[in-house]
Amino acid sequence: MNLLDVRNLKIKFCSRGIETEAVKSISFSLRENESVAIVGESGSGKTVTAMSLTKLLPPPPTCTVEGDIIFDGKNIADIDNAQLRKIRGRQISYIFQEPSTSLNPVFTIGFQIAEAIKLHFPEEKNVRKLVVESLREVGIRDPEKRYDSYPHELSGGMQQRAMIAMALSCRPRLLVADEPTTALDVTIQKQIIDLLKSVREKRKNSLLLITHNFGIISELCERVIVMFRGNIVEEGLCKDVLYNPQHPYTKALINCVPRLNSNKKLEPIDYDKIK
Amino acid sequence: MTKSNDNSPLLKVENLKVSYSLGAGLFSSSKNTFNAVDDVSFEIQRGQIVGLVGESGSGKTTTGRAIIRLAPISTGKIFYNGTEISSLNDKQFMPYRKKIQMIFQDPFNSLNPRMDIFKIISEPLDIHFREMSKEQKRNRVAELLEIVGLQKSHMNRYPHEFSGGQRQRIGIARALAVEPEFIICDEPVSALDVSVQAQIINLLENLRKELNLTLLFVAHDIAVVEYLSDKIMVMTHGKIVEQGDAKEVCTNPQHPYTKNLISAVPKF
Repeated sequence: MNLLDVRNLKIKFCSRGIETEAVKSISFSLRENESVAIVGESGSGKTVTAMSLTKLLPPPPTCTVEGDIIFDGKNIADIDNAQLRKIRGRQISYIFQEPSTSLNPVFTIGFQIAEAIKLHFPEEKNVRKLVVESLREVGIRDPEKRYDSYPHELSGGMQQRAMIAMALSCRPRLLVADEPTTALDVTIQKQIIDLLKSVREKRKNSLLLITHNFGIISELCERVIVMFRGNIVEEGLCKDVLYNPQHPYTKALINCVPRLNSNKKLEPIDYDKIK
Repeated sequence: MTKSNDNSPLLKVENLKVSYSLGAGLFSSSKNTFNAVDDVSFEIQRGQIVGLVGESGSGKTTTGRAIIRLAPISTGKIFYNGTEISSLNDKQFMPYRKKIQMIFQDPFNSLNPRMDIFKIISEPLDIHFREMSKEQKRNRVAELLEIVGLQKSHMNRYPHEFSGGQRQRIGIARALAVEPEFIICDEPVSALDVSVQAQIINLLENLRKELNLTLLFVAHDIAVVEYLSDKIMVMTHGKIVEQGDAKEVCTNPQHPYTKNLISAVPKF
């Protein structure tokens, strides 16, 4: 059985009477312990798709979501807010792009991670110990001390590790990583990719990776979904899509990635040729 | 690439050091200093694109900024076309502000949201081309917008009406306004999507050819730097650890740090 089934998902935004279709009827699924990437440019609808999974989008009339999102056999649309809070962070958790803005600057790292654990495991006695362990698991040195650090005392890479510790602290079944390395240097990006990889080997959680970077997909995911202007244009195994893309948009997107030691010209996407 | 008969470098940096004092407050002085740029020397030939690559905190941005006095030089000399520009006073340095321009990383923060595009692009003209009439400025701005792939009707709009890639084009047009010879590009594509990144990289490449520019291209993505540059300099902890021909450095890196940087680039 699929862990996640998205069927005919449509997301519309309405602002000052103007309707914009951000996502135009897409369907995809994700199995238990599978890692799938959604790749696309800004405005392709990949982030709003990820956010719709736990109703993180603004309520109607600003934003209307149609279609079915079935997580673990239950339709997210039918779940009330109290139940939804038990899913957010516990079943499905998120890592966002910019660690410096997703952490609260006035609370310590440890406090923010503990918050999630206390909410989902109220009977847990030794929260501090769990937090320290989760910090250690993501490779933060001296976790006892770092528990009491504020976000500004950590570098970008360490902040992202703290975010990952927070997202994993309640052992979610699905981790959604929205551009987790875009704000980071390549060397730090490599460390974060390796971390996500090793965590998945151990925890066996599913991963939905949202990105515009083809390089990190091949390192982390088995399957890839390519989105363009609110539609899925191509879907398949990473090795097939990356090395033998079928859709003209996928080909064009791959052609504009600069690669080391290659003499190929970069070709910006000619949108008129893609229909 | 343009070949010049003149073999002397356009820019020569000798033992450049930029240090900041640590922990010095209003009433206390500090003896501790941090060398953001630590004894850096390099040359850039006319018509070259030179890539300066390194991680955050390596001092690459500060090096670029020190050349046009956006960062204080502690010691060292900078020569531009044979003239030592690091010893000039601000007034004497003024003509070099026209010759050397800068393109910034974040197209969202480097354009004043309260100015329209005409004002943004023509502001450098107000300083360096005072004799220009308003009409001439409008024509020049229109021409610049077309050079960077925008339309002249865009000049009456404001920055928020543009996408990230378009804003970066506006930043490039502003840099080109005063007909510079040398442009320092500080991470001009790292805030952009890959597809838009490819457009801006190609634009910079074409501009270099058409306008005979020399570029210092500062970036953390060595794949982008290799694509665009003739020569690469690798910087870490304030020092240049390796420099040489771009292809040579990327295919046969010598320094362990360069090897590490190259191995971190995702492969597919």
